[in-house]
Amino acid sequence: MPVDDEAQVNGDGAIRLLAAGFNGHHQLFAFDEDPRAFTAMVEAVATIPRNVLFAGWSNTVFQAGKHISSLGHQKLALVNLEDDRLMQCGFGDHEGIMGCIDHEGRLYLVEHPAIVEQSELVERPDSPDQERHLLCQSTDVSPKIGTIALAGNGRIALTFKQAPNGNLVHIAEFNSPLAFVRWFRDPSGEGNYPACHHMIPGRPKQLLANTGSFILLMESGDVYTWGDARYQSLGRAIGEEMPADKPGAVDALGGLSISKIASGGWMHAALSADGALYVWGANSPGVEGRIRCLEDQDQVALVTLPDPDAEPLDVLDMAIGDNHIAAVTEGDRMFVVGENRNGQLGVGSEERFIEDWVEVPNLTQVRKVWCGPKSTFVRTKAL
Amino acid sequence: MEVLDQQLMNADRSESVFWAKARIDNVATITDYLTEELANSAVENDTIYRCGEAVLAILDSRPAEAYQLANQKLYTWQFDKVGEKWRRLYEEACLHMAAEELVNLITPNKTDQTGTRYVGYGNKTCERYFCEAIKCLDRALFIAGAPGRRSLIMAVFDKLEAFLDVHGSHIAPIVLNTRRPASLTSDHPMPRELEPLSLQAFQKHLDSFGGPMVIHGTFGDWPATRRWQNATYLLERTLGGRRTVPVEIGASYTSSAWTQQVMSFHDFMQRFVLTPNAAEVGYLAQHDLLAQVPALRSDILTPDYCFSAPPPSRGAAALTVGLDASPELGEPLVHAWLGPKGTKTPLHTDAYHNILCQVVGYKYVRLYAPEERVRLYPRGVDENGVNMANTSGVDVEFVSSKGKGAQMEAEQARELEERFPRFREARYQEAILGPGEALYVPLGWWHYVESLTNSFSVSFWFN
Repeated sequence: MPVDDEAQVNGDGAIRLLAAGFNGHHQLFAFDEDPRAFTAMVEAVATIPRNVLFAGWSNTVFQAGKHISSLGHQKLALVNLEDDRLMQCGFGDHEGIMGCIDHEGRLYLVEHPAIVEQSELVERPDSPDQERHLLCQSTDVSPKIGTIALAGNGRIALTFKQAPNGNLVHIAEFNSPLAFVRWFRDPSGEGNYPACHHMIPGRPKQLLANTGSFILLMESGDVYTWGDARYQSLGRAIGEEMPADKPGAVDALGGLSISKIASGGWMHAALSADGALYVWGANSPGVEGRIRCLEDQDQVALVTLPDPDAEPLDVLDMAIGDNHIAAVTEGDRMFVVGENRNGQLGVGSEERFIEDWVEVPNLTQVRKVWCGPKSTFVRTKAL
Repeated sequence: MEVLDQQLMNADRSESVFWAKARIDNVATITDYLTEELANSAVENDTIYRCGEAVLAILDSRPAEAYQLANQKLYTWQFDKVGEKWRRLYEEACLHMAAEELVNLITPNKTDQTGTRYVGYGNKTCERYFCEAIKCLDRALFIAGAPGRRSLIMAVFDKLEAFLDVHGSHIAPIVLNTRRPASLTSDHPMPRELEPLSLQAFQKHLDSFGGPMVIHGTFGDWPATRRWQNATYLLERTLGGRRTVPVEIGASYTSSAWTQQVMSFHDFMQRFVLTPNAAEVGYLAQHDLLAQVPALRSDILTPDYCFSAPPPSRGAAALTVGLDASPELGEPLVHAWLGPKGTKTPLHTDAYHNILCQVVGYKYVRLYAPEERVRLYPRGVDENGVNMANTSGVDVEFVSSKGKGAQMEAEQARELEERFPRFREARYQEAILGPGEALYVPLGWWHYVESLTNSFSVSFWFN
C-alpha cells in the first residue's frame, strides 16, 4: 500500500499541491504573506503525489514516495525511507510534529519538547534551525499501533494493531504525549500504564482527535466519540449509560455506513458511503463568526452543497481546521466555510469569516483536501 | 444619554484639538516606554517559555497570531485548568498588540492592513487606535489575570490617565436614577440589624451558625457612597469611559439568549444604564472591576466581617457544590456588580460566605437555606458540559413578584407548579436592600438577586 489509490499517478502524471492560509512560519511558502488564494507549492508539477502527513500551526510535513520533508518552524532532516512504507497518523502540536506510525504499526518520533524527558533537556540546546530527526522507535517487542491521535488538550489515544482476523478494538488513552512515550518505551514500567483502556467490538478504520475529543470510525461504518463533551462536540447524548469519557456510538449516524471522518477545532465530520456529509460541534469559542450549517443541529447536521435549495452534490472528501471546513464534491469542485482571518479558505477574499458555504473559484480537478489549523491544502490533477 | 455624549465624549474627543500633536507626542512617550519594557524587562520565573519557540518567534512580528493561539488554549480546558503559560502568552500577546496599535496612532501616513492610507493625524483614526490599545491592555488584565506584567499594565494606564487629564473637568455630574421602589411587605422578612454589628458580635453570629441578615450602617464611610451614583465620575475614572469591561447580556445566565460581550465602559453605560427601558439588559456582573481600576478600589474598604473566622460548614451547607475545590482565601474575593433595573442573578449557591454591600440603588434578594436543596431542583450538567448543580432549575423571577409589584401570570404559575411541585414548600427569607445596607449570605445558602433600580454593589467572598 505505497500510496492511496485515488492519488495514483495516471495519464500525464501531473499532480499539483496548492495551499492557502497562515504562513507566519513559512510553513507553506518562502514568502512572508498569508496567501489568501490557493497557490501552487514548490513542486508545481510533480509526478509523485505528495501527501500531507502533518499540517500544524507552525509547520507542515509531507510524504512523497520514499521522501519525508518539512516546511516551517520545525526543520525535519529529510527522511529517505528504505522501502515504500506509507506514513500515517502524523500527530503533533503548535510546535511541530511529534511522530507518526507506518502501515506495519511501527512508531516514529521526533525530538519534540513535549516528549523529551526534562532530565534529557540541555539548557536551550538548539538554534531554531537545528534539524530534528524522525526516527523509528519500534523494536521487535514494541506494541504495534494501528492508529493514533493527539487532542488539543494533550490527551492521546491509540488503537493496537489488530490481527487480520481480530474483531475487538483495544484503545489505550494517555494524559499527555510524554506519558504515552514513557509507556511505549517501557509498557510495564511502574506508573507507565495508560490512563484508561476502552474495548469496542469490530475493526477500526480511522481514529482522529480535535481540541477536546476523539472520534473512531469502524470498518463497519459505525462512529464512536468520547472526551470533552462541551460545545456539542460528541454529537451524541451523554448519560450514566453512555458517559462522555468512554467511546459511545453517534446514534444520529446509525445505519448510514460512514466511510470517512474528519476533525478539527471543536468540530467533527462524517462522510457516508453514498456521499452525504454530516458535521457537528461548534465554532471556536471566543472567536467571532458562526458557521451557519452547525446551528440548529439536533445532534449532527446534514450539509447540502452547493446550497440548501439545490440538488445536493455528492461529497467525496472533506477536512476540518481549527474553525473552518472544506469539502470536495463530485465534479472535482471544492466548497469551504468558516474562519478566513488568515485566508485559509483560499477564496481570495478579504472577509475574515464566511458563514455559509461558498465554492472556491478557479479551482478544478480537486482530488483531495487537508486542513491545517489555519490553512488548507488541496491536491489537484493539473490540466 | 445624548447629553452625556455631548458633555463627555464630544467635548473631549471630536474637537479637532483632542488628538493634537502634543497629545500624540505624549502617546509616543508611553509607546516607547511600553515597547522598551516588553523588549528589555524580563518577568521573573516566566512560564511563557514553556509555550514553545514557534509562538515566541512571531510574538513581536505577528502578535495577533500568538493572541489567537493563546485564546484558543484558554478555551481548551475549563478556565481553572488552563496552564499559567497560556495565560502568560495571552497577556504578552495583548501587550504587543497594544504596542502595535499605539505605534499606528503615532505614525501618520501609515497604510494599515486593509490598505487604507491615513494622511496626517485624523481624530477618528487616532481614537480608534487608542481604544483598541486600551482594549488589549484590559484583556490582558481581566481575561488573563495579568500573571506576569500587572505592574507594567497599571503603569501604562497611570501614564495614560495622567496625560488625558479628564479629571476635575467642567463636566456636570450625571446622577444615576435610583428612585426608591415600593417597600416590601413580606411574611418572610430577612432579619435586620439596624445598628452596625461589631466584629465580635458578627463572629458570635457565625459561631452559632446564624443565618442571613441585613446589616445597616457598616460602610457609610466609603467614598464610594458619595461618588458612585455619579456616572460622570465613573466615566472619568475609566479613561473617559474608554476602559473595556465584560458585560453579560440577557435576562440571566441561565437563559438561552444570554451572551457575554466585551465593550467600552462608556458603551456599557450608554446602552444599558443611562438609557431608560433599554431593549436588552446588560450587567457588569461578578467582575473584578476594582482590581482593573484601582482608583475605584480606593473608594471602598474591606468590611471587618471578612476577617472573621467562620467555623467549618456543617449539615447541608457542608455539601455545597464546589466547597472541596475552593481554596482558603487570604484576602476576600471582591466583585463589582453594576447594572440597570432588571438584572437577575438566578437562584444559586457559592462556596464562600458573602458580604454584599449595596452602594447605589435597590436590589431584591431572596434566600433559601441549604437544607431546602431538594425543593429547589438543582440543575445538572448543561449542554456545554458545565456542571450547573449550584444553580436552581426554578426561575424565581416568576414568583418574586412582590418586590416588583407585578403579578405572575396564571399560566406560568401552573407550569411552575407542575414542573417543580415541591418548590412551593421551600422556606425562604426576602428583603429589599437599599443604599448603605449590607447583606450577609452564609456559605451554601441559595440566593436570588434582582435589581429594582440602577444598582452598583460590591460583594466580598471570604472563608
